[in-house]
Amino acid sequence: MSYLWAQIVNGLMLGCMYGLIAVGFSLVYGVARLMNFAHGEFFMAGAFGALFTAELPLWKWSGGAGATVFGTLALSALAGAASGAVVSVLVERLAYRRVRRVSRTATFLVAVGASILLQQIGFKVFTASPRGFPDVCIPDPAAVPLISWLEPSAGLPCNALATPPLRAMALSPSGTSAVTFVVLALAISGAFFFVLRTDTGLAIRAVSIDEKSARSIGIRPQPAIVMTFAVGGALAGIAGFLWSLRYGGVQPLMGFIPGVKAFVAAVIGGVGSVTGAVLGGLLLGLLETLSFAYLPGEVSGYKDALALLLLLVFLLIRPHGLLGRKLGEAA
Amino acid sequence: MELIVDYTLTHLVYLSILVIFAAGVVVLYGLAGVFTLGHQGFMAIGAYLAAGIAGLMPSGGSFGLAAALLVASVIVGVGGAAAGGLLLTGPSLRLGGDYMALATLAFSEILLAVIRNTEALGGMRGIDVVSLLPRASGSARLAILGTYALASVAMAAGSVLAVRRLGCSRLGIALRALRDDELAARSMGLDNRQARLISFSLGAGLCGLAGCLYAHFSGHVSPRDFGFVQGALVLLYVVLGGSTAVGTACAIAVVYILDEGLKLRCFGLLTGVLGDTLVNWKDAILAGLLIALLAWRPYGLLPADRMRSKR
Repeated sequence: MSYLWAQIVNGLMLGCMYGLIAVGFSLVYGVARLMNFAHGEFFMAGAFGALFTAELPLWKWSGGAGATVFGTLALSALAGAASGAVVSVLVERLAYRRVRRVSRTATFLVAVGASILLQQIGFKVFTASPRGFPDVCIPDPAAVPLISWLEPSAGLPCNALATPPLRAMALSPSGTSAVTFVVLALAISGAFFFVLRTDTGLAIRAVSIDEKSARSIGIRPQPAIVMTFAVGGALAGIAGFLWSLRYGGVQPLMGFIPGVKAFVAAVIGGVGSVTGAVLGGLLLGLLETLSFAYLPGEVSGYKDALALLLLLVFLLIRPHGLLGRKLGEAA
Repeated sequence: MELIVDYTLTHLVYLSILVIFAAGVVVLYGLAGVFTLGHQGFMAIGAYLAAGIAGLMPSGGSFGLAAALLVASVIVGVGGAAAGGLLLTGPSLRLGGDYMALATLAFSEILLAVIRNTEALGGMRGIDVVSLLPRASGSARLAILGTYALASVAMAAGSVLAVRRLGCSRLGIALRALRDDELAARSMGLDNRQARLISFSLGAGLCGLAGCLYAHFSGHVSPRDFGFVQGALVLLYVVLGGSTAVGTACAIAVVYILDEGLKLRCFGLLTGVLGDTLVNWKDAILAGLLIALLAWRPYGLLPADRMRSKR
């Protein structure tokens, strides 16, 4: 595989993660007309949830070693989704519900407040030092079917209380890529299925097009909004799991920059559109990775500003994004 | 005793700078109704321009030269920030609501990225500002600090009153009409483009003034001083203050004193476990308190009469 191809694959994976965060952001904006600045913190919550689940002594409860590896990964993905969704629904209930109807600036400020609050809680509960995804503990490497995905870890042996001789194994880079790819594909197709093919998804789309008309045909907006928050938070949480697996660096402030980029991805894709959010994320991820790989080193400091430049260009030329309807003009 | 006076005066200056900054945001958000998230960028323009002008001062230059440079730095800083405001508004006139907010945010974040990556501007570390006025030190420290505090309070009061006056002027009435119902106001013959350009340059200019004063007083500017959170906090004060200049000044004073008071354990009154918890969780408590405040009083503690925007 040539360098270019490797970079393209990297960019697509990064872009899918941005897209995954952006879908939730975009859906929430569509339904609740709310710029959810705390969305990056749902991503952070998901990463921590996944990390703590992966640190559980799963080998104790499972028979085969192969089951441990896949069980750990699957469980921590689920835990990431669950913690993202729970935090998201809680924030909606405790912070947004009262303000949403009143003033958009107040709603936005509440979102910023919620984001700061979640970060502060993160600092107090998880401390500021960045963590990486833990090694997988397995009793017997030979029993793992896809052993080429795992390699012996340089880290300490996993669990002090281990009775059987345990081996600490880490996912190899290609294993990480494969897991990332599978989870991304599942999550994105799940999001599409949910929004486009289920009744709840239909209700969400109806409320986001016109709340009054949706109400008049018997759709209650509030449950649709709660569902949107739950799904959006779960997608952000899965992105958090993948991020911690692939890039590490899990700490309370990790949500801010990916959050802003997902925000940009949602806007350039067209706010309110799921396809648009994924497309926007892919565009951003590719652009970022390729510019980082091919432009001279001095430009790399501008990596995070690139997204915002793209945003500014889109706002001036095509404010409603690639696939969006005109939204957010009149209050 | 001396320490307490020193502390109070220093914080009085920072409080006044914050009030001037917020007065600029009142013009942008309160009067013109532009949902801005980039005002900290205008402040940064003012601060860095002031720092640059102060850097022209030769060592051992006369007092007159220093005073001239000081005046020049304020003029250039305010002018530069106002020009930045025009530069941003010009192309984005047709953007409304949330999109304008995003454009202002992108503007200030790109500006900060340029500053972070430019070695001549000090990069991440920031730059020291050459002192144009006698730095407060030695025996005359309190007298000098007192003068600064007096001057900055006067400037803050001046900007608050000016913004208040502006609200009652022809321009202010036009701006409010455009804010509350753009279509109706335009059909009465009001020029929304002109009004937006003027209000943006005025508001950005005030933010620039705050930046200048900050650079001269603190003696050091860095990109961290103008982050997104600082900007959002000021917008929060403006909303809590009911989007009027006087209300905002009051809101800032209350929150600032609360924040500093908690840092000092309520001036020594809070001790023991309760005190420790309060101090450790200060930021989380303040954020939660502000969310609750916004939830109960979304138009500010004492809202000005304002047409409630419907969804």
